[in-house]
Amino acid sequence: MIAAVHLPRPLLPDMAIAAPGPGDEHWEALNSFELVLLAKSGDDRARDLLIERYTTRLQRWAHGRLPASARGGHETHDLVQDTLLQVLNNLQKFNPRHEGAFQGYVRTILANRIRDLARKWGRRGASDPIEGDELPGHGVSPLDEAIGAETRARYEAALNRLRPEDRELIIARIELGLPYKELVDMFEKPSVSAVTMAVSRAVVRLAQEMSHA
Amino acid sequence: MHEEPSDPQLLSIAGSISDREPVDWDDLRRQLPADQAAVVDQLRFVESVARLGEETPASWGPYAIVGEIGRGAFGTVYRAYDSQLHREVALKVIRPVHPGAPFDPEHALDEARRLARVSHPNVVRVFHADRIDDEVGMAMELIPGDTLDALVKQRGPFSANEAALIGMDLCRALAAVHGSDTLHGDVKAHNVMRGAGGRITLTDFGTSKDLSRQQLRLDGDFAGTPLYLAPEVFKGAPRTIASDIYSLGVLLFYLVSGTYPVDGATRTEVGRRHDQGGARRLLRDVRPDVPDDFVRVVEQALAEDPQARYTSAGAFEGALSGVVSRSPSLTRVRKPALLVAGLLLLAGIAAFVAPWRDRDGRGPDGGVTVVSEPPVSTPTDSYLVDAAVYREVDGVDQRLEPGARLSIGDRLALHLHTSVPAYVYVVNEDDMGDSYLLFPIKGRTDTNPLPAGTAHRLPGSRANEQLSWQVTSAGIREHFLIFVTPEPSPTFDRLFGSLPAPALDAPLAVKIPGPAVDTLRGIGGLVATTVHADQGMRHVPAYSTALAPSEETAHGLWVRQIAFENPPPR
Repeated sequence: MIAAVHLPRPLLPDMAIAAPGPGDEHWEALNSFELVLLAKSGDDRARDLLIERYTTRLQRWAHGRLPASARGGHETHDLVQDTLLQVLNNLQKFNPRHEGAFQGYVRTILANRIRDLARKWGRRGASDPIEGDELPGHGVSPLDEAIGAETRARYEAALNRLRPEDRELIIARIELGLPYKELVDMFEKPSVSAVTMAVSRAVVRLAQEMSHA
Repeated sequence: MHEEPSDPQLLSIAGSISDREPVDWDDLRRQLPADQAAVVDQLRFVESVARLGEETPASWGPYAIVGEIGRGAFGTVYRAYDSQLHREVALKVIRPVHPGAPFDPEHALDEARRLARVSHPNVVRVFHADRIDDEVGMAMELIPGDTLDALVKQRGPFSANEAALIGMDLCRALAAVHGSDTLHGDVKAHNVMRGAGGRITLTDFGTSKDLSRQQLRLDGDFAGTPLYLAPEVFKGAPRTIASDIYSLGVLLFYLVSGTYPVDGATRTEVGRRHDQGGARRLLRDVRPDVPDDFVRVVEQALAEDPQARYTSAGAFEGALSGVVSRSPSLTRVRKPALLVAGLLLLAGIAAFVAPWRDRDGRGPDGGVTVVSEPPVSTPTDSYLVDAAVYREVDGVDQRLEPGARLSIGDRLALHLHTSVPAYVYVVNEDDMGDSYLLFPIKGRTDTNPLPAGTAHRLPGSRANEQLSWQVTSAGIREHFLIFVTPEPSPTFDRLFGSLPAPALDAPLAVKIPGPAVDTLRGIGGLVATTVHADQGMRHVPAYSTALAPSEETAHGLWVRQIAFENPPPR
């Protein structure tokens, strides 16, 4: 697992952005990086929009990483929103270079929260079941079931050793499944083919890194 | 660490993962040099992470998705939970390769229909199939265990004896498949599961086809895995029973050697080596230590000329059984002619029981046969029967599925319910050939006929004690034979009356060390559990049979056999 959060050096420390007018279409046109900058300057609407955008995206991601008993619709939703609020309340500590970096940062915080939850679940044990319908394998997350806890830990460690952009590309495309088009803007790449190749290279590097562990 | 990866093949795999396109990992691993194999293995894990990012459905139809078991170009197999029947299933969801890709739901449903035609303990059972939008789902039996391929990779090659026994089970499975006018078409080690109790199960009918509808395909009939594909199929001939038998021969070759008779990195290369002839490996060359008979049997299945192979799965099984019976280490298991089979033969009713007793007297792991012509008078009225075997755990009866693993000391009971007064006979027989009449037991008050409309728990009770049958020793595999007839049967009274009955509070063989354990009988004991006045039967029986979720309608004699694993303690 990731033991520490990588905080990249701000490339544009004094970058500022003006909030658009009241029309929704103007706000929708802003990318998440711009929203982060606005939220940092205290704009509540930017905060709300960020929460709205990232909740759906991260809820799906978290669903596959939580033990079955802890991934009901409400639990996953609440966990993701809590995490986003935590991140947004501490935005002053974070200077993202681009949107992918912000996304990677949120994902890392969320992964840590899930790890803590899983530990807590492990301590509860089978004699202390969570209420409601229980499915077999309730204590294991789908990811652990798919690749095993040991491989998952190796994956996380290798991911953490990658260059920030490689890690963020993998989070955005492999983990969150964002479309290439979105990644072009997010990572400031010249074209879809450029970002496609960048993802492929990042994936090979990750696998090489995992095989060295 | 930060040099740019440039290997085109690795980048291509990474691209497929990123695009969520199916990757044939086994094929890839074989093609890539060894130094890249480790990276490919890790890429496979990355693919699993990528798949997780896809929306794994929380449910499909009436099934709650628990997790993913595997996926391929066809779709995905999930571990799912049937909330109606309270059991886990393997749910295969077949869908277009990508949105908008050509997809024929009827073709996908055909797989389920063909599988539903086959009823055999060595063939995976299909419970339900349905179409939802552009997806077809098949709920099948979930078999905890490993594929034979995984076992070879984990533990190395099998012994010839073990492979022959597995081969016999698979021959029976194939005989049932072919008998239902179906070709499996992809018999391989990946598609055979060995369950925790040792049960061998043939799975994946994705490339099966109807024998009755021989389609001529101009593009060849290449479905199936190249390494297991018969040479004539490479030359354009359609797949036949002979090609299934060839594939089973390859499987046995692989089980004992970890290699294939004709190898190659690609389909074209395997086809070319078939053409060359000389590139074919002989089993004797790769396993000089296996018995000659085993080599001969496998090589015949692998004959280039389809006519020179076994004419049927049954003939192949017969040849394999000859190998097994001559094997000293297995003689003891195969030797006994099962007593009950003999008794039934004497009574002239073997024909009715034949579907569930093979010629060696070994029965399948479970199954139900409703026999229409009993050795008793044939009543015209039908009646209902529900029966299931339970294991008592801490005073609570838990239902046993066919193939469940028993241990010495286990307490067993039969829950039975009939809609008419019934004469019931329960016989236990193990693979050592020891047989017991478990019910009725002379001298006990619970006896035939059993009253109708009552939930009976056999063997019955004594004063305030509930009796159970107890496993007193290892018996390899325990067969329960249950006979129910609404009419009295002097024939059965005479036949079964000669069998020994279990003794009350018999000592457990677990205390006896060494080989003596194997010589003792299986379920030879009868034990009692005190039932408190307000307790009654603590578990309300589900009264469902192993193969049918609801009670069965019977006419005349009703016979059921269910088998459990009872291996010697290690």
